Amino acid sequence: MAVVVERKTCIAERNTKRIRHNSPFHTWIQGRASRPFSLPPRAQVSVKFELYYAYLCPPFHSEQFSEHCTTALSMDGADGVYPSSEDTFLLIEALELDTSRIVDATKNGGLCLDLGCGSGEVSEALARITPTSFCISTDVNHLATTKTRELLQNNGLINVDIALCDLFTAFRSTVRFDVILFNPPYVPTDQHELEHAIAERDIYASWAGGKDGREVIDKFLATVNYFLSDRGIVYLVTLETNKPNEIISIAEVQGLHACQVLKRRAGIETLYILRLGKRRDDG
Amino acid sequence: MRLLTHNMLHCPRTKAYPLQLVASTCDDVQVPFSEAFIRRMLPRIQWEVFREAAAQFPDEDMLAKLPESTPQPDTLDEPTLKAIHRALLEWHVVDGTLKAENGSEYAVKNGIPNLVITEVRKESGGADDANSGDAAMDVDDKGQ
Repeated sequence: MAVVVERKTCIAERNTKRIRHNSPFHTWIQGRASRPFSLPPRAQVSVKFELYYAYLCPPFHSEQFSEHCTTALSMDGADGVYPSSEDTFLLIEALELDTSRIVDATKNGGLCLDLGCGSGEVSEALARITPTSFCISTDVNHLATTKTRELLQNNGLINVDIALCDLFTAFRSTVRFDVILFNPPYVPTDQHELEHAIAERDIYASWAGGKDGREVIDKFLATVNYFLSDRGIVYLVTLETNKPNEIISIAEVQGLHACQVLKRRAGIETLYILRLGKRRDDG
Repeated sequence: MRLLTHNMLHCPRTKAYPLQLVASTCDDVQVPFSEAFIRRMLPRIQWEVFREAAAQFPDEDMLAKLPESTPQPDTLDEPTLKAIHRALLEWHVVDGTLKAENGSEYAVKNGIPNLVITEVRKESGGADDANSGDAAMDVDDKGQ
């Protein structure tokens, strides 16, 4: 009996980070957006992105965002890669809002890192925001790295390299990045789901965050400041359940300045974008 | 994978650096030259590692154009900057191998280096981290 109850709780906790038959946006779009699927690939995503803003705040004002999404992406993760969703869009929106800060941090050429690039849309947005920088996009899921490469190639973005690796484990300790983006697996899950993600490195790795959804985030927080240049900034996606204020305190103990740049309700969860930086005014 | 990326990678298992690059297929993609970018990157590059990796690309006698020791920013002339730009950003390793000192090997396939390591299964004889003999076999072969 106990097992049944636990299972139900687990299903109730499903949120937008998992394969999302119940994501509010995806339910909404499935009901309304039969047209985008018949569009040519390049138009498909910008339409999807505009639809997201239509869903979010009708009547929508999406002109400034739509150009960032230009290639087809599946809606349901059936190809084994986390589909761009509310959290992806919110991170891109934060980058958009912070364009001048990012441009400043990468002035005269910078090094950027996108951890957990998934379908590659965030990498694409970053590569466009700071065209004079060199970006490295990484994921533990080989399907995600392949998909990101295709997206970037189709859009002619040549300032990005892609690597299959886990957090910072493949970088020598003397590397310093100017911008680090991380949309982590933040969904609270049981150990079983987390172990599956670690062993298989499939789409589970895009959401399974273990206790409080914090296990991968905490690993990231423990090392991120060593890989950040003096002018560097970090953008991190988190959930209310991850205790963003606690994350900010941990970052401050590490000597980083931290603050919340965006917050948005998405169905049953509330998403936050946190910014961490070495300079006082970045926090 | 470009030499700039290669320059930053170490063995995720033992942190051995550098990873020796063996390129089997290469590509050449033109990138707009930015002197400011190269100057900013120079302090972040391990020069000897970069120079040794550049020798992998046989054309154009690249080694002759790259100074033997870390160049001083104020002594750099334009031909040298352009040579660094070319080796750092325009050459791509499409397929190849990254070899660590301990014998671990990491594949580069379709331009993507694979640096994830799978947990060694306990039942397979207790081989653990940094066991150099078997390390190469632990390298993930997904994505290949």
